[in-house]
Amino acid sequence: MKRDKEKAAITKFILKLLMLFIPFLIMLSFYFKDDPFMVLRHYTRYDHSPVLLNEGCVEWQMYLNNRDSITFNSFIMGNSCTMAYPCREWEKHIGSGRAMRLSGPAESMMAIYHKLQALDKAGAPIKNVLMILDKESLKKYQLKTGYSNILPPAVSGISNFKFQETFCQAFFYPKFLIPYIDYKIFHQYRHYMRGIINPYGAVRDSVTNDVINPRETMIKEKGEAYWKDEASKFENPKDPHYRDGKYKEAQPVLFDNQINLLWRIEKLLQKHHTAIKIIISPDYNQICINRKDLEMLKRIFGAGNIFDFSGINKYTADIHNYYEGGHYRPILGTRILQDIYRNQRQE
Amino acid sequence: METTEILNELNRIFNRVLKVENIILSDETTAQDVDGWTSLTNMILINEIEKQFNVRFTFRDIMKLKSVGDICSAIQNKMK
Amino acid sequence: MSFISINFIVLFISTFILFYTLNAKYRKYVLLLSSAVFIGFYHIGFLITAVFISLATYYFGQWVDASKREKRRNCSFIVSIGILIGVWLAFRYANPLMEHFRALIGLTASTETSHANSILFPLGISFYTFQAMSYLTEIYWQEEKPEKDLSIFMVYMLFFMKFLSGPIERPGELLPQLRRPKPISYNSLVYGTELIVTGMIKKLVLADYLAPYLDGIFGSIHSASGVQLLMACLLYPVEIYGDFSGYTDMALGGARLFGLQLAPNFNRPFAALTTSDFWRRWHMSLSFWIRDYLYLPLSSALRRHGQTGVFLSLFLTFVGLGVWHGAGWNYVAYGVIQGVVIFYEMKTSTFRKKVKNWLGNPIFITLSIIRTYLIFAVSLLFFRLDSLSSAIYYIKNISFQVNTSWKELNIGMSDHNCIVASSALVLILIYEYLMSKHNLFDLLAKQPTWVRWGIYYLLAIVLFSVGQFSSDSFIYLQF
Repeated sequence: MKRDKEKAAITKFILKLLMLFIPFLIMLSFYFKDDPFMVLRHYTRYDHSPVLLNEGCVEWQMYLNNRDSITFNSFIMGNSCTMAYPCREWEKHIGSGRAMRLSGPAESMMAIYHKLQALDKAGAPIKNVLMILDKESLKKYQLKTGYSNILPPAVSGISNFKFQETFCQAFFYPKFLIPYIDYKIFHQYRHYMRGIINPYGAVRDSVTNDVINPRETMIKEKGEAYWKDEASKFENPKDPHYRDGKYKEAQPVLFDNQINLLWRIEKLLQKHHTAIKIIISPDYNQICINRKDLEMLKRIFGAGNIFDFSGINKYTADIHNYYEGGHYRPILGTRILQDIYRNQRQE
Repeated sequence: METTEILNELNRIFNRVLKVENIILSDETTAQDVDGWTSLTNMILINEIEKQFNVRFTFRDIMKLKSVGDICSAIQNKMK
Repeated sequence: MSFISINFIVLFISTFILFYTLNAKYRKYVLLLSSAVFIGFYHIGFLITAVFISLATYYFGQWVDASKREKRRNCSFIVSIGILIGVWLAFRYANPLMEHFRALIGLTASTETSHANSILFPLGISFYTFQAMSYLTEIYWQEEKPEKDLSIFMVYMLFFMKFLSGPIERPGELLPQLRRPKPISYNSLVYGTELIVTGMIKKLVLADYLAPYLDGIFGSIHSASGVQLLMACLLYPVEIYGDFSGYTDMALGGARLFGLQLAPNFNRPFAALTTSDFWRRWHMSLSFWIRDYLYLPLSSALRRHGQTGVFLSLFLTFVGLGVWHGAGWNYVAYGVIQGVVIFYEMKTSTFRKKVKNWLGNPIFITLSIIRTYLIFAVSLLFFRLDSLSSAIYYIKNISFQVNTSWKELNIGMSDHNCIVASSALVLILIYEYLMSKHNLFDLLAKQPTWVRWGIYYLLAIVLFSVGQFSSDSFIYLQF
């Protein structure tokens, strides 16, 4: 009798648990079927997703997809300002190199190091590296977490389980789930979906991972009106001295942790006899990188390889070079490349 | 010794040691009922009780004392 | 394996299935097998040590009980306890002693060799050694008879739900449940699950949100600002509470699913008005252990020495508490602070009553709670930092400068994390307050289905979306 009662209790309990879990199991099955972050399976193309994907995962997958047909040996790395440097432009200056962009939003130096290590491990010839940095990227010596920044296991070394689990959990997070379900049902892009859903179609080149920036189209259409409309994105109301024409220097950001990391990167590049060029971005705020930091970079990577465009100069003067305060356009990037390599040819 | 006499004595001891005025002890009173009667003060009380009634408890005896009633019976036993 | 890991979930579910599908007489063996897997998973050495000590305790128990004459009994008891303590102390102090020895003979080991030669402190040894000592003491006092069934005894010692970080079980509480198991009821199953979920929220949504920031500050106290030191000190009790009471809830809930009731460890500790009261609410299975097996015998033996006797007993008891936690002087300091404060509270009880009458109840209670919390928070610095000098440096450098930025005050936590952690804390405090007045779980069971399921789903969503599943260590694991 007692055993029967117990059996009944257990059965009731398990059934109730299963019923409780059914909605989650349904959502989970949607997750596995849809694979919104495109991390569960291999894909040949990554440029059709309505969801804003993790850059690091997508580009690494693209590299693996294409490396058999194209021997990539040149890499543009750094933060999102790499959007100003189209691979085809850079290839004009590096002889027989085939280039690809391996960058990430607000990329850390540690991420760059891991990506180089992964390339090294994958047997890639690293002939040329173009690094687009600023003081923010130099400061960061730790990997970021979270589904937008996490790097694939082959690059970061984390376990496959942890990697997948991050995305699975991010799926259930209301900040993602609600816009996602909304968009899937109504196919209408709404403003609150910014940062989660991508309404612009293809935003990257399917081979080189170059950015296809919808703002270029906007500029073509609007012309001068573009900068009038976006004027607020070029101001900093918190700073009364923003772009006041006076020389400003940033605080130093390279301390022991960062310097050790930079030496490790340099050692890895030495191994491949890489031709490295580091560009300090022409930030619109016209604040120079700290002189000490600049000296340190020159000491580690060689004075002839560091190109500082920060501060007040002809590059940062013209608003038409910029989409908004944080990013500049390929017309500026192309000019910078020409100037760097012209100097080199003259040496 | 009569239980009521013992209770009166205990009352005086508790008042003195715990520095409280108006404790009225009965057979059923336990540590929960008396403010300040805790494991911390227990041994001080026991020591005073032993001195007052000229008895000696072993550690095991003391552990078995859960209420004032237990204390009374234990005292009466020891005094025989 | 951490309670929050796929490995453990697999182990738990398999155990649950086997436990309830096999014949009831095999249940203890199922628990034993799972416990062996659980312990051995970390390191086979941990399993060997635990089994060895448990077996020894089993035979010691019978030896003590069989010794009928007082002298022989005392002798067998002292030898048994001595061996248990000796083994525990050997593990506890092996590494510090080896370092001293190496320093003495002039060897400065590089980090690699010192790591290779350092002895692993067996997982859970502090917990099960103390449980073993409690078992033997109860036999010595003739309160309990030694357990005859070896498999039941081994489950009592090694049960995987309580092995990692307690609670420290009394023989009179757990052994009878193992000897005469009752059939599980539906309500117990639901209650166990609810406890597990509560524990998970405390750990994943409260403790693990605070942990990275607090670890950051405690790991670099010389570069943190005074305000950051202050905030970390104030928040650390919350983190450790979420971590440890979360673990305890999961342990109790999981055990409940097997029909076993383990001893609670926490009883709304932040509602304590005095440090004495605090230690009746915090890590209760340990504090009651030191009260019953250290303080009471000591104070009984010293009772003829009045106040000095009480002070000495308190002092030694809480030194014991400190040393249980670790091998350094900072741990001793942690214990001693508690003892000194409790003694001070004893001496000043009349004064406090006067203050209470003067201030009125609500203000007095609020101030008492704050005072007790602050004392505990400061004493925890000695627990958390690895040396006396670090703790003293820390205290000296706490700053109360009010005109600092919010960024400094929130110790680098993003606003989102602050909101999550504070909400979790408030909700947990409300939950525990309500639990002390009514049994919330019973109340919940009486609600209509849609209310109950609504709450379940809400909790599950919160857990899923906000829980920090990636961290997998518990603070009390190192004991």
